[in-house]
Amino acid sequence: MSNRGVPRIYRRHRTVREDELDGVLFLIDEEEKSIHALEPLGRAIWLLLLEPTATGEIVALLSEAFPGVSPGRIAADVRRLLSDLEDSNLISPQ
Amino acid sequence: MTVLRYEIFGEAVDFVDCPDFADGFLSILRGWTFRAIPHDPHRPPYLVFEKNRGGYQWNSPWLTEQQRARRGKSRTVQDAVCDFHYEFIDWYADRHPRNFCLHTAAVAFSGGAILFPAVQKAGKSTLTMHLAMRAHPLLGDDVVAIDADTLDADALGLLPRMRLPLPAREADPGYSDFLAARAGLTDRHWRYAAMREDELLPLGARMPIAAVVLLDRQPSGAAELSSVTKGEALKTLIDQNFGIIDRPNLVYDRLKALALQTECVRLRFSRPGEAADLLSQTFGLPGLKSKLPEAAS
Repeated sequence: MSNRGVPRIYRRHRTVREDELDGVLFLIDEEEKSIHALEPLGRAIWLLLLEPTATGEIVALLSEAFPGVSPGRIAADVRRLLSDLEDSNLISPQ
Repeated sequence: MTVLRYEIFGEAVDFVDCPDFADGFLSILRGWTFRAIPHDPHRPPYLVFEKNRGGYQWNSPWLTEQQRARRGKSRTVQDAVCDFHYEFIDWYADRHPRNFCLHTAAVAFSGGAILFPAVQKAGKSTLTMHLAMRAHPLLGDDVVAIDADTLDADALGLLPRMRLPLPAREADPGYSDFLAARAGLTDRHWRYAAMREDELLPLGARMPIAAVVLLDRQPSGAAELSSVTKGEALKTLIDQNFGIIDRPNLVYDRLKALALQTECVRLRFSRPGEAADLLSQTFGLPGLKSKLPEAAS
């Protein structure tokens, strides 16, 4: 059965060390032996995913927060960042 | 069959029927101990370089069967040395577990080494050679090690390697002659620059790091330096590290300390000579010879 049209809801999958330096949020993942650097958009997504959040809601909230960026660009960036975070086993769909 | 055996990093390395391959390696290294040792059939070699049926090839414990099967032979010594270039660096990294290895150029200035982390097509090697033309010794044009404890830069003692064809239009008028006078091993894609003794620091030579410069090459415009956030500099340093990769907390903490203690700037430039002049005026020529680090024994 297709999941098309069903909103995808993500949340953080596990806890990693976080540290911020000059607006860049670093996730230091000892388990996966990796370090991720999240700039403003990625940082905002990571903060939103403290609670389960649907992709569409993330796009809507970030479009409000970044009015100078086109919603289409934000939607594409959100999809890419969510995919990266999921591939890194940092978030998971509910 | 003639076997030349050397000891490198405490391991036996055999050159089988290819003394020219050994000479090729020696020609690109500065400060490395290539100690000839007698061949002992009871001590298997760690690495084997050999020439057979007209081609050069090498075998090492870190190659998988699949990689071995896929590898072709190099037709010339130049191709063979260029083929092994990054393996050399990985080998160094493996034998120096307390060092980060950063994909960055590093050049000596009055306050210490300046790092130029690799950014695609940013002209790092060309800029580095223009700095060498202005009497700034190089620690390396592509990779430098960072001591995780002291955060000093360690030279790897590898000759700079220029991608061919060499840039012609934007380079200094004397650039081609400078490189021609230092032409080393050359294959279809790369040319080593056989730097003179005072132009390239040998393996293990060490300097404190004075600055991190992020390169931003433009098609036109004057060279200028601007500030860059420590966060962006740290992200770049982390992206370019391939030495210690299995200890992310250590990598983060030490590279963050490095970013915080050094000056971090962006260099926007279109002409490498002009950029080198700006850097030299801003950060100063390195001092006299007494200020240069001692080579590692």
